[in-house]
Amino acid sequence: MSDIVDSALYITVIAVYMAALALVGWLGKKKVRSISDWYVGSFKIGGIVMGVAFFATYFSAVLMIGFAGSASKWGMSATVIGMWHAVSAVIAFTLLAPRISKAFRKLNAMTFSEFLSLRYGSKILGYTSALIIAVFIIPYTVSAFIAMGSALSTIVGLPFWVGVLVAGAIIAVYVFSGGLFSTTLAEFIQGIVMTVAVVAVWIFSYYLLGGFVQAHETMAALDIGSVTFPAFGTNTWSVIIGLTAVMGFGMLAQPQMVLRYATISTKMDTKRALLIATIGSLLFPLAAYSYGALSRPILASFGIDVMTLKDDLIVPLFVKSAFPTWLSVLFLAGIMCAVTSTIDALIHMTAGTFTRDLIRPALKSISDRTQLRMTKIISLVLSLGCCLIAIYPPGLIYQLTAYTWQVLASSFMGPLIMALFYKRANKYGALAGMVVGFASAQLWYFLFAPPITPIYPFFPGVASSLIISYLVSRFSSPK
Amino acid sequence: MLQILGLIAQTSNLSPIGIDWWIILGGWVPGFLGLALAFVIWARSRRSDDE
Repeated sequence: MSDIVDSALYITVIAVYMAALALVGWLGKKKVRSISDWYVGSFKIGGIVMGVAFFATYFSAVLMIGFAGSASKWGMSATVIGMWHAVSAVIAFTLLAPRISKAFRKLNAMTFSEFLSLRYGSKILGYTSALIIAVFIIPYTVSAFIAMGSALSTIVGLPFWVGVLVAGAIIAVYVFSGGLFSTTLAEFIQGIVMTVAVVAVWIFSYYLLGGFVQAHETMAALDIGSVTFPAFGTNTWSVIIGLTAVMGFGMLAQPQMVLRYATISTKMDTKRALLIATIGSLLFPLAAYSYGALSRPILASFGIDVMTLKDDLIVPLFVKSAFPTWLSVLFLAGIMCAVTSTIDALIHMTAGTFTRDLIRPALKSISDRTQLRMTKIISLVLSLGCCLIAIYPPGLIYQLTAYTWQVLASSFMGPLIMALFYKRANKYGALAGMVVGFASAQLWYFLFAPPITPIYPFFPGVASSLIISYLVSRFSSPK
Repeated sequence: MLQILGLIAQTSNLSPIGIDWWIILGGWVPGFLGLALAFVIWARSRRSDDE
């Protein structure tokens, strides 16, 4: 009987959430009067909203379910990955955001590829970057759908594919209607709900283990490796160091993040966004990685050994087994917010890139109205396509996410940083940096990635992208 | 024997809160310094705005 009541409660939460987002979509639709409204919110997104939207996009159920589940095996050393996110947020809002925002307005760019194309005066650069985004953002989007499917199947008891399709339906409703106004407004609400959920689970996990210090002592008694930093050169060491760099500094060149801080309205709003984004970027991952690590001794008390489980199933099982219903419901709401807040940003950006940077140039003349309609239809098709791939998961969540972030950071770090900080940077340098960064990350991934060597493809990829962009620009004649 | 020595070496790195010092110094300290810096930048921008 109590299971039926619980299921009814979970389904009510999902229904209310879908209704609320449909309302947000409708409110956003009323604000969309031009193509600039849909793509970049007419560069009028406020600082507080942007700060919350930033970390709601940055972190998702990928972290709450996937990375936290893997952290149950890595231990408290996983919190190192999370804490560096706060440092990355400071770098993003102090060094990059003001320059990116200014450059986007000056060039009247509406997508990341369009920005590169206009800044360097090269259409090939626009097409190449658009193609990389369109193809390689898909594994990341798929990983977020997998997280939703895992959560709904384990916590609510729905089939995995239903969970994935519910996420797809939610996204389609409001990205389709309101563009960036809807996604940013929704992300603001979602960011608050998911932070409350993650922090509640974090605090409750410590409570279950008898307090802050007692919890760590219990973990140490179970496995001393779960409270110590892994030994140099081991597989866990390379994962922790690699993910700290990929998820922290790799974020700086992710097109969906660039688009977020390009749209802030004033200088003061950037500072507000900096504070809010840094608080969120510290609190959210610290809580998620911590409860992930704490789940191991808690599940052990239920006779479950996490080392025998698939990483992506650990957190849903943890929530289902150890928490009271109210907290499971709150966590489920948090997961839905986290999934949708990231997928909407990815779908919004990728649909925009497809239409504006790949289809529009091919069609020669296309009205803004047709372009807007086409973007919306592509966003629907993308949601559905990613749902279908997620139904048969091609890998673990953290592996898919890390792969996408490494490819995108390796391709775009050089062209982006040179565009902002090096006046002599030209199209030859940018294109060479993009191609060499992309190729070296791919080569390293297939030939030398862990466990063959302890070095993630991110390092050679980003280093070669930056160095080649600089050197080729420096020694080729400026246009 | 080597395993025991390894365990002793790891245990001696534990801070009073039961977590390895390397985790605190390598992750928690930079994270909170980042937060402090963000707060200072925001507070200074507010003050210059008031003036």
